[in-house]
Amino acid sequence: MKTLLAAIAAVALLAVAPFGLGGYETNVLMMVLFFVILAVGLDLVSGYCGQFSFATGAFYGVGAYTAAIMSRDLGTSIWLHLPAGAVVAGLFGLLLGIPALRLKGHFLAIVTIAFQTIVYLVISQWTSFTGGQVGLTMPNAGPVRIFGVTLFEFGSLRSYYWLTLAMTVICLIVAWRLIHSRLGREWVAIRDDETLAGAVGLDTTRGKLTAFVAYAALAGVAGVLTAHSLRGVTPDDFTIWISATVVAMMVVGGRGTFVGPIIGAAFLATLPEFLGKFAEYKMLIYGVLLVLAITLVPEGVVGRWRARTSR
Amino acid sequence: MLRVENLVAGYGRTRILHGVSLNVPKGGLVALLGGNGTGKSTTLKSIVGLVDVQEGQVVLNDQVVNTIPPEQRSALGLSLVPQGKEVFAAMSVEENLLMGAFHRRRDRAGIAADLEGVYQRFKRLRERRKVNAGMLSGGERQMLSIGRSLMARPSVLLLDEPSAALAPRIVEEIAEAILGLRALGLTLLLVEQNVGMALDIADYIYVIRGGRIAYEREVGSGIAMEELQEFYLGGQEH
Repeated sequence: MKTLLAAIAAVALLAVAPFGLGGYETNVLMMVLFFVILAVGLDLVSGYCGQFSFATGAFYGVGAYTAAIMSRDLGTSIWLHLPAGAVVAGLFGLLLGIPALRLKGHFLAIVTIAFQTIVYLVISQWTSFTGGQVGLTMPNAGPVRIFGVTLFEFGSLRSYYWLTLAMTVICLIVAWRLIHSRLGREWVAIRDDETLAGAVGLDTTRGKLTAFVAYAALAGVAGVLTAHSLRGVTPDDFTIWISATVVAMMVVGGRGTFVGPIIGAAFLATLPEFLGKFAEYKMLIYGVLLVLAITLVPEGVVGRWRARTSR
Repeated sequence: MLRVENLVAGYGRTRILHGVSLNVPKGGLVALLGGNGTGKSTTLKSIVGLVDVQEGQVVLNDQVVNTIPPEQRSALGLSLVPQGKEVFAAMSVEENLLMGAFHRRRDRAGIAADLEGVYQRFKRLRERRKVNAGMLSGGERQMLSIGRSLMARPSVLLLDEPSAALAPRIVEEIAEAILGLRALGLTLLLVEQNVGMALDIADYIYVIRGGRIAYEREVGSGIAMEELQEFYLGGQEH
């Protein structure tokens, strides 16, 4: 109950934040929200189901390019792009889930890196379809009309910020429901002991594939939001660096804790803003934080805190 | 009730079972004995579908089950208590037990009743219901592992070396628990290295060697220990 109130207060605060902040800060806050979706999504497959993935950037990109290409070729709106991005990225997630049925640990991690690289190469080289290195630009998302009355004109930074906030809340609710569903129990069982999960009669194939699909679909949603907010896509926004950053966010915050990746994303995404001229070394700092977290607090900040308080 | 007919099975191209046949009658307690690497565990794993059957078949209540996916076999009443007292270490004792009832999602009252039944049977599990299963002792883990299998309401329970790596006093406790399961009407197939325990509780024994059944006899029909040991330890003269 207390947690729910805190969550509602946090969302309310974030909703009114643009009134007290400048455009730059609002933009930073919006980036934080993109990373929150990505980190919580990765936590489903890695933290709860125990399957490594360094391909978050790839699914993020698939979502973003789905929106950009649909917008260019079909002239569709963001309301169609959001589900389409989730579905297309989810299908790619299913594709990556298939090798995960046979591979474990390091070997799976290597396959996800290869997958990330392939997706990056396709979006950066297939110029006629994806715009190549230059990427694609997108028009405004357009007005929101109900019965012909314009409720809301998409265009201002704030409008995209609020949409992102609303979608983040929806994504978090979906992730929360999944974790606390039967499927979520199955994921945790697979993470704990896959052989035993099979012996108990759980369908480990279904468990792993659904975890990959859910993870990829959330990243796809984040991609659609990013493409629209930035009014375009470029391949360099969806590199393995993004994947590594999201891994660091999840691990530092705490795998399999739900709140951990949210805090990790907020911390690491805002960190460069406080680094001043050292901001260009952010990947180095993320790397150091990741190593420190894995060696000193492998359960993450939130994981450690929970272990402390439950004693 | 459970019949295994000329089972040939293994991992990939490596064959471990070369035609194993077993019969476990309804309500019976059958023990499968053998040394390390003789194919005991593989037999149990191929019955539940964790190892692919290459030839032969597994028949449960006149139904061939080796073509059915493993997760559906548990719904038919087959349940394996795996070797090594394995539990979901990050889950509490109660959560572990509930994992056993995973496929009975609509049966809330039944699950609650069975949970109570397991706690009645294994009192120590009730005391430790909120504890993480990773914190349990070896004996408690074995009880939890058996309890979790019971939560699936099996008709046939397959136990893979329940006495391994346990103190003699605990082995006695586990043996009693197994007899209790039999009194409940369960059909049991027990894999053991502990010959003494198996002869104490089983009514029929098979000895497996090199992936083949080398010896079988009804318990109480005058099993000559020397003869048994010879098959068990691998005498070549026969």
